[in-house]
Amino acid sequence: MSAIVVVLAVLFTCAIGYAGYRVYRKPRIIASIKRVDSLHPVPRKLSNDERAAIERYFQVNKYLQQTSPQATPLPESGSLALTAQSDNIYAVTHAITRYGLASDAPHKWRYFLDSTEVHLPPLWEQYIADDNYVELIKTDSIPLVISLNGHSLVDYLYAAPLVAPSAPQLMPNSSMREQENEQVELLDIRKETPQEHAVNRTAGIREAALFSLVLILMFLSLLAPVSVVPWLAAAAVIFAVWGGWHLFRRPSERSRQDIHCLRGTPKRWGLFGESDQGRMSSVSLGIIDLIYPPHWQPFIDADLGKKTDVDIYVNRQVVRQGRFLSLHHEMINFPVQRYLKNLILLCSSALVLCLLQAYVPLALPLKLSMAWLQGAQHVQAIDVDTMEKADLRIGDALNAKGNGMCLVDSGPPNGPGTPFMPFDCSGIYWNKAAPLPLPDSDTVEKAEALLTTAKLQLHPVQSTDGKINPGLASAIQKSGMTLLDNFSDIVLKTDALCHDEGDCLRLKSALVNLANGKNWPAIVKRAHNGSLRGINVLLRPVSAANLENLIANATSSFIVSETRSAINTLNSPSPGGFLIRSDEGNTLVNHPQPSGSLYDYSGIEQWRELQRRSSMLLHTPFQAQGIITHLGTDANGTRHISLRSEPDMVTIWRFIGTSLLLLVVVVSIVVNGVLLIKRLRKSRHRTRDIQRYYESCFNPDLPEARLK
Amino acid sequence: CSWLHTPTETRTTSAAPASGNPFKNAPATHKSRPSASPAKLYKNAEELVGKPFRDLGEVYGSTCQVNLQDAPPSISSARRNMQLRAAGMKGNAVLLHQCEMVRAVAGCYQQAVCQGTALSVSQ
Repeated sequence: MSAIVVVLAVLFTCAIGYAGYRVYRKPRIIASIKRVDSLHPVPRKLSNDERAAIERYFQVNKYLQQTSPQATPLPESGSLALTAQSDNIYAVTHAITRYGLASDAPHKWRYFLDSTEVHLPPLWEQYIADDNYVELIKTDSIPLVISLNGHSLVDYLYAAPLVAPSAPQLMPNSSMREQENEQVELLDIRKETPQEHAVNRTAGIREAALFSLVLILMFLSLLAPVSVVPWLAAAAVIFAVWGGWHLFRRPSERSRQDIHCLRGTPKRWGLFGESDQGRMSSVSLGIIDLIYPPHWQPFIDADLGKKTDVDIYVNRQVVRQGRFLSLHHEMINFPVQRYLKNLILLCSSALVLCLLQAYVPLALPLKLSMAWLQGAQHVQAIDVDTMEKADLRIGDALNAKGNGMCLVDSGPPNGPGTPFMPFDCSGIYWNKAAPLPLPDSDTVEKAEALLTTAKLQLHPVQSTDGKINPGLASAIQKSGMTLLDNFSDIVLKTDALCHDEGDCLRLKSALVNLANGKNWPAIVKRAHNGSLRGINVLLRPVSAANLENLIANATSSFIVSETRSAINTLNSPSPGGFLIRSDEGNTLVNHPQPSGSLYDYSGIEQWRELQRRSSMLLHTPFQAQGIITHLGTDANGTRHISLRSEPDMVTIWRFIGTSLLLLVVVVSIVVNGVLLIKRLRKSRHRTRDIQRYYESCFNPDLPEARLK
Repeated sequence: CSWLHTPTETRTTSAAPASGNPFKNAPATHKSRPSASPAKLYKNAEELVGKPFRDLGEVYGSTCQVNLQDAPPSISSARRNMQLRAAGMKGNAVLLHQCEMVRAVAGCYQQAVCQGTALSVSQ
């Protein structure tokens, strides 16, 4: 069974590892490129000329920056540079939007393809059309336009003068979209705050799954072979550290998205936006269609038509507007309740707890771990008095040596046998009482007598034993017949054994037939009065065999019942003293184990074997060594001590590991259960609380919503 | 002379011939007087199955041809002689072991001897 568990576990671990690898290795496309809907890589790579022209353009642009403010400003994140992925050329057909920075200096424009900022060589403004076929490549910051409507960067440097023109000539037919009537000022570009970042952050499901995997790996390490345990433990630690780091790390600068702080006048266009977000997307700032969080809907109108500061992501999602609407403050006062990870951890902890219950014996590890925590002692005992003086406790190491009596297993004969059946030498009675007497039984002796006389007559050692004349003996021998030369003795011994009327009926009737008698009492009477003495009975071989079987069956039934009652008699140890048992069923005596079970013998051999074993095991030297796992006293005043062989280092670590895992799992169930309930309740009325807070902001006469 | 010339006379030998006993190691048989009715003859031990019996001892019967001129001895007479003897031993049956012709027996030119066991079979 545990083999199946190990195989399943390894497969499960590999599957999770492979899934994690696939998620991690997903091509990391820069977020800004990803949003250009019609973008697709052109089936060609960057040529050497284009690469040289791009490098040269970077240098010229850097030189112009130092000498002339007119050079196209470089993006906030520093200079442009080619990267390994710059070889792929991306082509798009899209309108180009230009923003003027909030200053009067010319060329302070920023160009956007939809919501993706791109770097456009300044001299190409004149070639911008309504829909532009643009080829661009990735750089280490924002994408670089290398071709616009057929004009390539290769020709750009040779055609353009070294010094950029003094002011941009707005070609009459250029249909670059200027802000129609309202100047949207880009006040600043900032990074989102940790709180804003947390709004969109994942619900921690991946981290919860990692921790669940850690719990399962720790469970598997309790069952796996020793050679696999280090790998499982290492994997568990790695996943735990990785999960913990992902869960509790502060968002890195790179992962925090840019937020454009704009100032303008939001207007509602009365149209339903193309997308299915209904009225929500009909508010726009200049030409930017703003996307609001759904729960801001009732409060947006307050800022319409007024000069308002609006912070948006590049994908036009609003994060802050006006004095009050702010995701940042929402997260501070009404944090998002991420309860999914608690749910996942709760389920995985419950699963591991069930697996522990099903596959790992919990009682012993817990018991021993607690005992070892309280300090265990080593007890050496070579006599009962020492044992009685010792203050034994669970977890103590005991080494007992002396003479005792093996436990008697009076279980059913066909039950699981012990090597010394009916004795179970994995348990020893150790007391100061005299050893029990060997099993003895008159009935068995009578049965033995009958068997002996039958055997002597049916299987005579010599052909003539003097009871009949040699001539008759040899005649009988020649004829192959079997002679019962002391028939009277068989009758007498049968009568002695089967004294009750109902005993040995078949045997009795057979003997009556052989003796040509009227009935059993009659031939018994003749046997007793001597008239049967000297009578010989001749049998065919078949009849002899039948008679032998009848006698064997008759005697064995008596012997078996006598054996059973003898065993029951043996199973009455003297009161007091100790019963030391091995948990694992190890034999505590040093005798050679018998070849078979007692019940493999039949008839009289069974009784003899019982006597042999009794003589060996009723008073036998023993040695019991191990850790005490259970202490108790029975009604007879005998103190029961259960021992488990001294666990090796691996077993000790498995015990401790089991206890720790059980503790972790139980704590995890409690903590995640409580958090789950709390977060579920809070997240249910989070939106209502936020709206009540905004209502109190926009309507000062309303009761102030309680904030942190 | 009649004493000498009774050719078919079966001289019963009440006891095993002292010397030249044809059945070596045969114990001395009982002294018994031939009885009027012969014991039942069993030729084979198997016939005794189912008939408890007592062993009364070995028994013999023989007929003697005194000299060459006389008629040869008869096995059946020897057997009958044995049966009679068994009956004389209070046996009601006799198990025949074997019969054979013997020569060079004192007083007999040739002798027919039968050996068996006298039995008392329970009825």
